[in-house]
Amino acid sequence: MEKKYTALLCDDSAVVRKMLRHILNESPVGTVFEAIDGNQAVEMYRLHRPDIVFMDIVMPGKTGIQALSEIRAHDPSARVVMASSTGTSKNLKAAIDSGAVDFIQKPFEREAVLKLIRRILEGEWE
Amino acid sequence: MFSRLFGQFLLQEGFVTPSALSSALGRLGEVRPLIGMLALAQGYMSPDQVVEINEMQKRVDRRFGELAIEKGYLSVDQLESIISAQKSEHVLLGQILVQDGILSHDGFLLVLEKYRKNAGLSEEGYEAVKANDVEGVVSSILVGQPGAGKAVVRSWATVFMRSVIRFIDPGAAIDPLAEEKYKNLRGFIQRMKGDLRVSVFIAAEDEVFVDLAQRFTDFDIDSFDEMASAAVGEFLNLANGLFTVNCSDEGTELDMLPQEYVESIASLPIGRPDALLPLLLPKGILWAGFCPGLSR
Repeated sequence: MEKKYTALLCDDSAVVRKMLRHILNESPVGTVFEAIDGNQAVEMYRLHRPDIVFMDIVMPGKTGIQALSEIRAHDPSARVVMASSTGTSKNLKAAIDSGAVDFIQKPFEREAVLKLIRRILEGEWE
Repeated sequence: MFSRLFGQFLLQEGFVTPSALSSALGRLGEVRPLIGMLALAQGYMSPDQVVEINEMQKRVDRRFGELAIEKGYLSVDQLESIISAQKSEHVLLGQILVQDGILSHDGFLLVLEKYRKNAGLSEEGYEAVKANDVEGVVSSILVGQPGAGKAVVRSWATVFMRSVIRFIDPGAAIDPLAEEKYKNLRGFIQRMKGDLRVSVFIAAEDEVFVDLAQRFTDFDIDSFDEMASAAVGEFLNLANGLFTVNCSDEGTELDMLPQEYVESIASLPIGRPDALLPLLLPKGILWAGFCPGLSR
């Protein structure tokens, strides 16, 4: 598998970032950047312009939705997947309206994450 | 209970576009559930029967339920059970999408079946949850506790215990004889605000937290270090996330704040929690408390 993509993982929990990294090892993502809050995520995005971003919603300081809006303002083609344990309709609507390409609920299911990556990065629908 | 949000599922499976979903979600509070959609979701009527009754209603000024009973598609008991059922958000969402012409009645039923199959039903912990009378066990431990009569407290306690069974230990049980010694333990607290202000804490001895962290992540964790702390905090976040989804389904919106670590539960400005669960795990008791909103 060619590891040709880059990803940014933004979550204040080290354990969530580690779990996602493990799953991404089995994907065509070769380079992974990490951010621990919304501010850092916006900075890292500007610096590296990753192919895909996984963004938590509930974080100290800037929320994931705020960071998503800033990233999309900077790059309207940014592909940001919101990843949260609180998949309420309100959060889902806020994520879509702010330009998220998808929403995935924790705990992450390995197959669901890999399928989502294939769909977003390689346009594969199953 | 543990299903992924229906709207999220529709989006991920490509059944709706993001804009159609956002528009439908924005109208959830405006629509009343239709008997036909509820009968479909419950499996009482087929899509063809619902469409037939809808067509009949264009010709005669009679209620859906009356016509469905007359045709023998619904029994009186089934109609009563539909009417008394709680508002179900995924059915309302399906109803809006059918009315918008995005899904047919057949399509809604197919999507609903796929959604149920995809809801993680094969997981070992979920099987354990289904096999256990969690609500009965939770109700019994809440007797005499301040929040025993509150639906939101029972809902939290049930979701929390199911989360422990599903993600940590299928054999977890409540220990009604546990001696109430949690105040000097370290713990984590998460506040939630919105339609209500509530806080949830968990407390335990280090070895209980380390074991919980290891079981939750499958990582090698052998001491209460940064990774163990992050794992325990994330478990609390996950359980509370499921609770907020349940609350949202029932019309109560709650936003979670980031969870916080405390060296001692006694340092928190809380009195007696509305509910206190002593959960027996392999290494000891995990205390979980649900408190009315507390100030920072």
